[in-house]
Amino acid sequence: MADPSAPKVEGLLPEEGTEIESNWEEVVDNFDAMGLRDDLLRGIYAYGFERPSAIQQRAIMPVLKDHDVIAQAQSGTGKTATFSISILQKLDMSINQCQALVLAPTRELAQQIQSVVSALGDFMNVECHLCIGGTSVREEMQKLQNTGAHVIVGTPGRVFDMINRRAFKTDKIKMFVLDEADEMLSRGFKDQIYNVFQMLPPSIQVVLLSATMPTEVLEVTGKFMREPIRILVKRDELTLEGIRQFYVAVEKEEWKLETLCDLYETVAVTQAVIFCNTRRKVNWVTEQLTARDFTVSAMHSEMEQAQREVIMKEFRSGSSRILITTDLLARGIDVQQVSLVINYDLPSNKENYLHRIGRGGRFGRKGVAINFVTAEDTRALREIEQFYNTQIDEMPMNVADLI
Amino acid sequence: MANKQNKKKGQTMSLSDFLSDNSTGLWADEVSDLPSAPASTMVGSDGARGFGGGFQNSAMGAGSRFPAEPVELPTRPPFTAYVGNLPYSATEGSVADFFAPLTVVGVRMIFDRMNDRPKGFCYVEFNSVEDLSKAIGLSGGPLEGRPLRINVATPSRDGNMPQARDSQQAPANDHLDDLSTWRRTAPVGPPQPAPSMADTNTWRRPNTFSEESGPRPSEGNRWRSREDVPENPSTTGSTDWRARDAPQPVGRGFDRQSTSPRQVGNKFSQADEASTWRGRAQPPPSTNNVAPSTTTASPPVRRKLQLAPRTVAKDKSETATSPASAARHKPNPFGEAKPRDELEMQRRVEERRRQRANSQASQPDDKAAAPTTTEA
Repeated sequence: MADPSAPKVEGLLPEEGTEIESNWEEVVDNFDAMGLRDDLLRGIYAYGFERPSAIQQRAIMPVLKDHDVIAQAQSGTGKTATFSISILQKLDMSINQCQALVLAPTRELAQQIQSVVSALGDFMNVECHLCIGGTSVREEMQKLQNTGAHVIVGTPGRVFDMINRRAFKTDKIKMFVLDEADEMLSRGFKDQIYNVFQMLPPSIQVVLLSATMPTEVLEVTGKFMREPIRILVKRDELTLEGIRQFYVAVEKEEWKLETLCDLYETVAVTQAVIFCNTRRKVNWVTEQLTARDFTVSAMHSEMEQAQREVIMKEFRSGSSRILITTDLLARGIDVQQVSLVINYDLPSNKENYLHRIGRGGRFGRKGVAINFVTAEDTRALREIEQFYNTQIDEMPMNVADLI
Repeated sequence: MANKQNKKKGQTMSLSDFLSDNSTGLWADEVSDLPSAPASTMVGSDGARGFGGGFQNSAMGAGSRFPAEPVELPTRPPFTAYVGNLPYSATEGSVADFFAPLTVVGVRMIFDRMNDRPKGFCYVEFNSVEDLSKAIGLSGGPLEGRPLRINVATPSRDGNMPQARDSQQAPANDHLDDLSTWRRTAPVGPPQPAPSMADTNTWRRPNTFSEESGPRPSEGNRWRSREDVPENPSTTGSTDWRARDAPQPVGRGFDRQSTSPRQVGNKFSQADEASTWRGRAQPPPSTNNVAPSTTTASPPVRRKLQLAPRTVAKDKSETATSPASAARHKPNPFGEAKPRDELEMQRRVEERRRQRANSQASQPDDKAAAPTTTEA
């Protein structure tokens, strides 16, 4: 085990191929033993949680003890509740001001987090404000000024804008949580996260969570984390046993659509997410399937926010069953009836492969991931297999029985 | 996330006018760039990235002409040229031949992702800046009768050069990597705009605050999300780890490590020869339920997937693996936690809230049940 007080970033980084070890050993396998406030415990049990998952057993306590924490855990194993419970426990309800800020990469994920925080904090009367783009700035500022918020969950652009407009004060914020941290610290968001950091008190506690923590991300955490507690998962333990992975050799790009049509009847018995790599392709596949009288819905970031919300709501409630989308929904989105993920295109990075297939098989349910593989994709598929030390077999005829 | 700011440039107006304008009801979170016009240009104030904007437009198929004036030559690799107005029949070989005496490191033809047709341009990487400069001198020269347009490839808006070959790239945000800390050094006063990265020498936040400073219009153009990056693969070089070169020689170890305890019926070593994925006539090795997508040699038409009908009843609550079997291979990440019905739980929470709202409405004085400072 590494010394948690080791000051050097280099010392914290695992060498390629060596075992990644966590530097926190305490495991609390019972919510009652975590010393949580009664109204929070009530919220936890009322929300249907009975016992903490592995990540909750390990990560809640170091956060409560004010450590900076980097928490990695497999998809669908309770990361959101981990930081939500920690935040709620640390709130001072006598202060009606923002005390915790949570950032997520997409509006849909931020919305989902907000509803979890609100539900868990139901008996504490917590105000958790959703701060995302695509909505009226003026209304949002008014709402913040009128009701205040103990917790703000949002996407970086709007959150920064709200701080800049002084819609909420930052001086009482004591926790800064980055969900899907590797995404948040990747090229597209890094500058924005830096800017938000500049608005927060220097002493702020930082918590990062994701199912994937590439080395580059661990490196950059040295810029803003202080002797972080690391709870990491070895790469070959990241794929879940419950998610079976298959490939279909479609050979040619043009044949993918027909292949998908062949699969439709099988797919339609469950809820499924189909990932394409571009918004344009999402539109195209959706049009083609609709023209053939297949019922599908589609979502990507070019749509109006109101429409995005409707589609998400329909999919969550099960009234729409097949959702075609981009990596917009690759991360974090928790729709528990999803048991099938189809990669119409292989993702353009290895991390998102894991996140995509993790949309199915939530919390120990069974899931199936099917990858459409053209001749050119062969190498990429093999790389994925090796990277996660997992097995991707050719899809069997009886795949219906597995879904 | 945000993706529309570039399309919503709109007119310039003062912030106070803007806020008092009731006609703008719903708008995207790119609001911060509304008061400032040049959101769609590339990161303009940063000298190192200050190339023209032509690359994106052409790469996104907007049909705009490439800038006529020469772009400054790069000082360090990659020395990449944009070659436009290519005949659709051009190949990597014919492009390399065109530049024949010069040392071509790589040619990357750009294809439309949807239909795999060439887009009529490519990137050519040269060994040296001299060769790049000579190559640009060849602009206008004909390839199969079409005058080629050759220029220095401009960096994508995140500052990366388009790559003519797969290679490792430095991350774009080097400047942040050079910082020793991202945290503030001073306590938070009244909310302040962050110092613009471009116009400060130091990353530390100044200690003195001016109450007057409001939103900085000039910062609007940083509010792009990664989704704004054009989808053209040429602009996303380093994030794309797939092979885009000519197919690699195959036959070097497609087999899984034989140590894998789960290795059953592994067909992957055959899959190595990509062109013959469907060409195997023999029955699948250890199972007889593999979809017969693997039959006779390279069919000119696609074979329909043959799928067996479902034989087991769908059981919603069924979990994938028993904890015991999961524990055999990997630590069980769920502990003793059990799956729950999230929808039902959310429904119950809403129900409770409704009841509370009702009881508060009927008994406005009864605060004992829910003492709070937040509810009015």
